[in-house]
Formats: sequence, C-alpha cells, structure tokens
Amino acid sequence: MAPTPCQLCHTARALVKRPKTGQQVCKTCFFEVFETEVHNTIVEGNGIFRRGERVAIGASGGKDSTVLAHVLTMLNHRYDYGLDLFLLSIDEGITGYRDDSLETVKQNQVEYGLPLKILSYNDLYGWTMDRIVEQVGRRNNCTFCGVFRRQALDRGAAQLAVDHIVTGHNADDIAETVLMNIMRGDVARLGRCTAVTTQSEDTIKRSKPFKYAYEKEIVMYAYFKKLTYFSTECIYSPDAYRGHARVFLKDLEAIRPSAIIDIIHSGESFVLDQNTQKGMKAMQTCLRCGYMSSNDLCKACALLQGLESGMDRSALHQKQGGDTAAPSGHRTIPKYERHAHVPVSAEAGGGAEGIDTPLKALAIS
Amino acid sequence: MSCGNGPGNTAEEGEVLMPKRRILPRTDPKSCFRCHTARGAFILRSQPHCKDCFFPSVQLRFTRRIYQPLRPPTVRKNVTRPPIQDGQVLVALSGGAGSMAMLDQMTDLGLIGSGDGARADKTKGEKEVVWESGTVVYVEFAWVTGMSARMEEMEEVAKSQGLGFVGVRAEDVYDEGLERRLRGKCGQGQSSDTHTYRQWHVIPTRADFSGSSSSSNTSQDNLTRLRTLLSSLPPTSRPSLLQLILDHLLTLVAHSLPNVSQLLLGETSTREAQRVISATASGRGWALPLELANTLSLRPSSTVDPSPIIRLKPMKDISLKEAAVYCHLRRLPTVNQRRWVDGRSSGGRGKGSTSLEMLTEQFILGLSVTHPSTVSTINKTGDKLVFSGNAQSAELCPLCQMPAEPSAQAWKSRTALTSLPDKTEPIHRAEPVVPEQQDSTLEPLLCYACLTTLTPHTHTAKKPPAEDGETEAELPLWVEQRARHRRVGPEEMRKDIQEFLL
Repeated sequence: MAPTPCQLCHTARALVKRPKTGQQVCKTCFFEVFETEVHNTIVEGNGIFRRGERVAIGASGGKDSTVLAHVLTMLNHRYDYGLDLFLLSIDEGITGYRDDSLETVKQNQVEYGLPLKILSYNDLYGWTMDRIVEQVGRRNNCTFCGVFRRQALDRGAAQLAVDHIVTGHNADDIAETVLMNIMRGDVARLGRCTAVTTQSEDTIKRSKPFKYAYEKEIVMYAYFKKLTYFSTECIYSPDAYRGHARVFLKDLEAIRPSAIIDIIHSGESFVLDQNTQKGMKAMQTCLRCGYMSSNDLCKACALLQGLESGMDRSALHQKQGGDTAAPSGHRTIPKYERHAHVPVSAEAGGGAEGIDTPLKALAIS
Repeated sequence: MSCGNGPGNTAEEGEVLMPKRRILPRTDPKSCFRCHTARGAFILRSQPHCKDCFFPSVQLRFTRRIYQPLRPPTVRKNVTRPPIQDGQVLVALSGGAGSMAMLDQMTDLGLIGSGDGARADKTKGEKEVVWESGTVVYVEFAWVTGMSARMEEMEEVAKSQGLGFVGVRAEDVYDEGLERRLRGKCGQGQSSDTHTYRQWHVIPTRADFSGSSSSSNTSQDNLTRLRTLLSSLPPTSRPSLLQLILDHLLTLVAHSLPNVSQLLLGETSTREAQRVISATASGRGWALPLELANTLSLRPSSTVDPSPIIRLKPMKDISLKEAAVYCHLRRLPTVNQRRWVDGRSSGGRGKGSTSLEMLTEQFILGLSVTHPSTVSTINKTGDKLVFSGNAQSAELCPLCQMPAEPSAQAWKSRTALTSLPDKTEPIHRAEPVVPEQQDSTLEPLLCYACLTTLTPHTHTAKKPPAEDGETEAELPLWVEQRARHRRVGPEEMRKDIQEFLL
C-alpha cells in the first residue's frame, strides 16, 4: 500500500492522524499547525500579552506545563512577543510525587533558560499536603490543596513581580469544566471558565494559551519533540466528581472528535441572566492576609485556622466571618502584597529572592 | 494536574467533590413520604410515593407550568385557571410517555373544548375550557427508523379525546406541496409562495455543500432522498438532523392550520436535561437558551400568515420516570424509543453508541442514581442562560432556523486549522457561475452546530466532482427557502443601486 502523503504539504509522508481534525499529516506540518493554533489563540483579538510583560508559567512538571514552556519560549522568540518568561512551581509537599515532578521542572529551567521560582506550602502555610492528609483524611484533602495552590501561585507571582500567569489548561480540561459547571449548577464559574484570560480585582491575570489544544495533541507534540515530563496520578487524588465528566467527555470524543472544541464553543456562547449576576457576592480583601475574598476571611485563612486548631474534616467548615484575628499561637499566612515591577539585570540573576537562574540557555529546536 | 486541581483552579469547598447524596432520615421505607399513611407504591426522586399522592403532585406541577404563560401578568396565583385563549391548541404527540401523559392531563383537566362554542355552566361547578378546540399532530419516522408505523394509532388516540388529527411523515420535508395540502385540508387559502425550489446538495465526504438549480432526481422518492441524506452524514449527525426535521414539520403544521395560538410539546425534565448537555456537546450553545425557553414564538417558514404561535412545554417539571409511571397507572400505551441512531434502540452503551444524545441520556440517568438532583440542577443551570443575540432577527440559519450565529465558520477555521497558507493547495470547488447556473455555498450561512452536523469528522482531501461518482444527498426544501431569504441576489443589488447606474 502506497504511503499516504501529508494532507497539508502534500509532499512528505503522513505519520500521524490529528485527533482534532482527523487529518493525516507529517511531523513537520503537525508541529507547525499545533504551534500556529497556539499563536492564533495568543494574538486573537487584542492579544493575551503586552510587549514587555513579565509572564510566569505555572509549571508542575506535567505534560501540559512542559509543552507550554517549550512552545511559549519558542513562539516568544519566533514572533517576538517581547515577553520576560519565568517558571513558577508550587511544592505541595507530597513525598514521592511532587519531589519527582519538581526535578522535571528544574530540567525545564535548564532546557529553556528560564528563571525558576519554587514556592512550598510548608514555607507559606507551615503545612505540607502529607501532614494535611494525616490530619483531615483523604476525603476532602483536594479542597485544601486547591485553595492553597491558588493563593500560592498568586503569591509566587507577586514575589516575582510578574504581570501575568499562564497555565497549561488544555481544551479537554476546559470542556470538562464546562460540563462539570453545568451539572453542578455553578453558573458563576460557567460564565467565566471558557475565557482565555481571567482577572479579578487585585489579582494577577491568568491565561490559558492551550485553550484550544487537545490533550492528545499535546502528548503527541511532547512525544515527537522528545520532551520529558512527569506523568503520574497524584497519590491523594480521590474519586472526584470531575472524573464523571472526564469519562463522559472521552466517550463523546470517541464518537465525535470535535465534541471537545464544540463544548468550548458552546461555553463561550453562554451568557448569564442579569439577575443571576447581580446575586453574586462582591469581592473584598481578606482582613487577615489581604488576599482576595468574598468574605471577611479568605478560604485559605479559614482552612489554615481549622488545621492549626487540630480539627479533622471539620476544618472545612470554619466560618469565614466574625473574629478576624487569629487565635493565639496559630500560624497565619503572610500579608499578600502585589509588588511593583522592579527591573532585573541579567547579570544579577533576578531581583526577586529565591529565583534560580538558569545554568545555560539552549536553543529551542 | 492529574487530580483536576491545576494551578489556577479556584478550588473552594465543594468544587472538586460533588456534594454527596443526602442521608435520608430513618423512616418506614414502605410509607408514602407525603401522607405517611399509605404504602409507597414506587420510588421517585429517592422517595416512596403512593398512588393517591402521586397524581396530585404531577398535576400541580403540570398546571403551574401550563397556566402561567397563558394568564394575564396581573394574575399571580400559580394555579389560577387562565382565561379562554383566542385560538386553538396544537398538541404534538410522539407516542412517548411525556406527550401521552400531557394529553391525558389536558383531557382530565378539561382544558380543550369540543369546538362547538359551548360555555361552562359555573353554577354547576363546571370549569371553563382554555381552548375552544384542539388538534393533535404526529410526525411519523417509522420509514426512516424501521420501527412500526403508529399513525393510525395516534389518530385513534386523538379521536378518542375529541380532537382533530394531522399526520405528516418525516420525508414530507421534500414535498413541495405539503403546505398547500395542509392548508387545503383545513380549508385554508393557498399559500402565495409558489416558488420552484432549487435543490441544495450535500457531498458530505468532501465537507462541501453547494446549491444548484439542477432538476435531476425530481422523480426520486422522498423517502429515498431522506435516507440518502441520513446515510451520507456521520452517524452522530443523524439524531440532530431528525430533530431539526421534527421541529420544522411541527412549526409548519402550526402555521398551516387555522387559528393555532399555542403548540404544546411533551418534553419531560429528563429530556430537557439531556438536551442541555447534548446541545452543549454539539456546539449549539448559542441557540440553547431559545430552545430551552418556557415560551417561544415560532417563526413561519413562509411569509404567509405570520401570526405568532407560542410553543409551550408543560411537562418540563416532570421527569421521564414520573411520566412513565403516570402512563402505566392510567394504562396509556406508550413507546419510549425513537431509534434515531441507525435504527438502533437506546439500549446501546459506551463505545457502541454512535449518538451524542444516547450517550448523554445514559450518562444523566446513570449519574441520577447516585446524585438524584442531577436532572433538576442541569435544568436550573439551563434556565439561567439568556440568548445574547436578537431573538427576532430575520437572519436565520437555513438549517435550524434559529437566529444566525456570527462568524461561526471563522471560529471553526481559526481553532482547528485544516490548511497552512504557504503549503496547502487551495481547496478545489466549483467556481461560482453567474447568473443562470449559480453555484453558491451554504457554509457561510450556517450556525456553528449545523455546520458541525453537516461536516464529516475527518477532513479528507477534496477531489474534483468529476473524479468520483458519489451520490449527492439533497437537503430538505426549507433550507433553500431560508438561504434564499439570507442571500442578496444580483437583482436585489441592482434595485438598490439602480438610480446610480448610468
């Protein structure tokens, strides 16, 4: 049987079938079309970035953030976005899991020549996930992890004085989130979960350049580019509700590959009733740590207070109002402050404390 | 991140874990949860119900849903019977539990009169009807799905309730004379729209659809045309297209019959929840708020008699299971399978399914076992969505006849590149021929979901038409009519600039 020519260049032999479109393409064209789609996402409309912006890539060592670091570095160079890129990683303190993935992040730092900052739960909150799970059990540990991570990411970005955080959320993640928010009735999140860039008051902008990139294509890209990443389930990952949406999404994708992008398109079209929007709580700042909150105390401070009090699962139900002073002897989260942009000289290796400068910068192939 | 809590997720309490099923207090599982007296006959929403409590519960929700849009806005009490309506009611009957239960309830409540103009004697406690008369409409899909035809059975049901009956077939969407026949049957004037339809063709394997004025195949059987169209599209597109055909035929009948004021559909809450999810998965989020609306003003397919007809869904608060129990207790015969997927029943599972709708239905029903509030939560979410475009826009998608979605094709081509400008050769397609044999494409006029419905899953290399002998499938006639309304032809352009031409 004669080899099938690439459907894009009609010259080279087709090596892969694109999960998104079903087209049979050669490796070179696959790289080009994948990178071009990400570039289109970045420059669409007014564009995600501004020239000179300091951008932190949320790096976990997984496939999404590894490929994101690679592609963003390349596109920044190719299209001259003019960005200062950093790697920002959060160490939750999960023995045997996070320490391994952090090694991958350090490898990314070397490969792409990007400054790296690692912020740990232990430094920030005085607790690791291992200790949290010991105390509260494995049923609700993800709640603690998610709340703490979000704030840790913002704090790390503030310490780096970055203007923007980018994460490796891909099309599959966003499609799952749309389905999940419909099923859970979370209209507030449904209204914003498909936005490529989100920003609340006094928080750092977050963007998702991989918004339209299929998870399978990210894996394919990493495979053909021979990128290394850490791929293991979190050891504390429970039977989360998201799992239902994930299985359903995979079944949809199996019978109609465009279902993922179709769901995102639907999500972008959703507009909320005005009365629903008016009913949402206004944002304020936490009276204890200064982070964004819809109550007097932010969720992280409330959870931490529960942990410090020695509570188990009931730590989840700490009130976020009332007395805002921490009980005596309890650790508290440091005050959250957004730093002004401080120019950094390359020789000094970065102005923010705790940044590891790259040992060398390799050319991106 | 593998657990789903990636950096940037705003995980707060309850986000990652679905609230667990509520632990029910210890009660006698055999007692009805409402009256606590009678023995529970069946479990609904995790609660035992007795027969005596079941019927009033269903009727209360039904009346609340059907009365509210028919009452004057000044009347606030939910169960106040609305005044008699100006026109007749058209009841869409599919033979499923939802529509059969709906019709039975309407009869039970005495909402439809016999058409003789008689008024209720309130001194005797009689209640006034809401509609002077009513007609049942049934759309037969049997010749497409392979199921048994039920036209005669549905006609018997209508007659037994003292209602008129109109039966149409799915393949009638290719019948140019359908509207004339419907109007003639009911003594209506003939439609002034005597346009000779151009036929729109689909060559699905090439993701190409074009219109031509070819008159070939006019002798081809309408059923064959429909079957050819369905078999030429991806299997997942079949239920979507059949639903569009159903919607079109119901709207056409509603506008063809005399003095119809409301069209009633028997969609249950389960079906609505399935619609929310499957429409989202099909990319139909743009028009979803209109599809879910409690009341919707229907668009006429022709310009004749554009009087507004309101579509109502009085079964929206009643689940499929409750409707099925209702029909069982009332001994109403129902058929709850549609077999819109390659003629298979909805018993397929997992990877064997070829339908988004089937997968969605299985998913929702499965999730409802462990999370009973799934259906109601999904419906509540859907009810909070609003349509962001102009619901009265004259610019409609030719296929689904919903307001046109801006830039659908551009969005699709931007997010999923199928060509690289410096590498891929231009797509071969017939050059537009002006003016007599005008080939024009439908793609720019379609909404995103319809574009997806008619597009194959795989973008294969395109061949010139002369090189392959594949049969062109024909789109239904209404598509051309709608497309014609959207396009500004050269004659119209000339009229606009006539005064400036030298």
